Amino acid sequence: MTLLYTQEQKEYIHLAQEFGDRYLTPEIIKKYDLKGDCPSSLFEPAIKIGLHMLEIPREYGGAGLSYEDSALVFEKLAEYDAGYALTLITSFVALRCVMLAGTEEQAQRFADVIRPGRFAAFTMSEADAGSDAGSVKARAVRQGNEYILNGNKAFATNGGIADIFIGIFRTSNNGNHGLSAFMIDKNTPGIWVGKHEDKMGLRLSNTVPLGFKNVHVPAENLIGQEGRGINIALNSLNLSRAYVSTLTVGVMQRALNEAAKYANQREQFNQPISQFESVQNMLANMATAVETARLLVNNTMKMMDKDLSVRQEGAMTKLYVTDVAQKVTSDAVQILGGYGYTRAYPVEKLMRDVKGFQILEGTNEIQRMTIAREVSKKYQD
Amino acid sequence: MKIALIAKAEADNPKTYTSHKNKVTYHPENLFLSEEDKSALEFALQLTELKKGTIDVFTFEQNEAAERILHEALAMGATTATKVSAGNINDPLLQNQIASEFVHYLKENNENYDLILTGKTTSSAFPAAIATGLGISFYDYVSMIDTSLNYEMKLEKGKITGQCVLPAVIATLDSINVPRLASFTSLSTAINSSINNVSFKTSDEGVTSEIVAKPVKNEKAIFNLDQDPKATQKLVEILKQNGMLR
Repeated sequence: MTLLYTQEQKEYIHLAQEFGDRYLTPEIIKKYDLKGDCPSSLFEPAIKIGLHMLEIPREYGGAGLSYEDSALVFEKLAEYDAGYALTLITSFVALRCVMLAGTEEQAQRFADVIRPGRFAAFTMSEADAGSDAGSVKARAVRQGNEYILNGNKAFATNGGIADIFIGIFRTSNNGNHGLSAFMIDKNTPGIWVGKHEDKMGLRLSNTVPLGFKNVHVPAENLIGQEGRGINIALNSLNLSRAYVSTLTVGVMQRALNEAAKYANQREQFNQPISQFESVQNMLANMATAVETARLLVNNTMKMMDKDLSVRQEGAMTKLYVTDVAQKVTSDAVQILGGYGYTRAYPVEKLMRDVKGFQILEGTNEIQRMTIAREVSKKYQD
Repeated sequence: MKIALIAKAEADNPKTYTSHKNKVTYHPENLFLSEEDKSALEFALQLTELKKGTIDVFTFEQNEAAERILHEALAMGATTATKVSAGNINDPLLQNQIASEFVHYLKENNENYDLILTGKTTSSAFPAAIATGLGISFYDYVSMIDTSLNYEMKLEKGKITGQCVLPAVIATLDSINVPRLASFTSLSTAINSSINNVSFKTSDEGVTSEIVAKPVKNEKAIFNLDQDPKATQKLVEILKQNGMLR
């Protein structure tokens, strides 16, 4: 491997591996992937060792790891199942957003909810508002000391298992600048949770539609100011984009491991298929892709640790890593041949999982727009 | 209750060493606390949670593996961690010397442990030597033990049961429990904690042992039953050697 891990990073990764070996066995993952289910009880062991608040500072009850270190842990976890890792990441990314944009009291309140082991969700997308966040229609209307929320949301990660949401609602008709962010307790009357989506991949990650009908939210639950919702959403996306990239690297590594192992064992024409040039070329390309992706993610995480803007780098990382993962996982299936095309081996699941990463946290088409805009800015007179 | 744990790296894990043409190369970057020692530490934690006490972890491993093992032990809940530099603990000729020096160190520092635990991985010589030096009981191959110190000791065709008499040295198998996982918070704390360092002087005169890997046989045996009258006999011999025939 080209990445030079520190002693501490090796220890964190080892603990993640011990956890995965014990609690995320292939049998368990396969069972829930087939069912498309993710019971909360599956996450209890993870919560017990602090995986749900890995990057959160100690004063909020987290482990206080850097972005760089926590990314390596989640990369390892994603080798077992990316959907499982995504569930844990979504919670602490939501908390981090409140810490960045909200008051100290709000952050502490949010942390108090998730610290004992509850989940958080971030919800912005709607049926007619995916990449075009400015089309969000769900409204928040101020009435005295509270806001009344009405509208429907789509594809809320963790929506079905969360106890607290960050929701983006429209407070004025000012396009993107008319959006505001709110902390919403799940138990507030008027919230309904729809059916868990029957997704192609990331099936252990809970994804649901949410409905809000006359949901009363105290005014002090507004995060930041009215109209700042899009900035909060973009902050959240910067973080989650970087973590999605790290999960993708984990899936790619797993695909490489499975393919290389199989290629050494499978014999055709009296020799292991790893001796054939076409297979060697695929393995070489896969290994190179995994290493370059990992280095790119690591660099982005280091920038985040230094509080540098990662608008461009995060987008580039997400774009490159998730695109190249399609080829890596597809090649893994190809190397395993007919068996790779069945559920008997895990590689078909890896291929299904990484497709989702090209779409969520901002589609790769949006990432290209973001990158192009940032590049153009640098060359403007 | 004062407990000491002698912690070792996971020795028999394919990731921890590679062999090529009979030469063994250890990979210290892959060395972590052994499963047997984790189980021993888990037992120690259960005892101290019940009866109040401390757990001092010692390791004789060298290089980066030592710190890693001690961090893991602290993260799980050990009280203190000490790295002992005394030569190669895996060398059978040095083990007795190191054990003797360790006993001397314990006596000199009035470390009167009620219990010295170690997970079973290699020879019994080391923990046995410590028990002899301290003049205390030694229980080996303990496959079950509870917090009342009722134990079972595995035999080939049965077991010995009884109750441990303290003070004692106990070498446990990893079947005694499923050890808890450390949390990331405690691991982060452990990584930033201080580790004690102790050195023993041991003589390396006459130490000539080295570890040699078992050669891997790749040749295929071909038995021509038509041409070789002894082919059947040879085949049976090889199957017996490989344990496929009794």
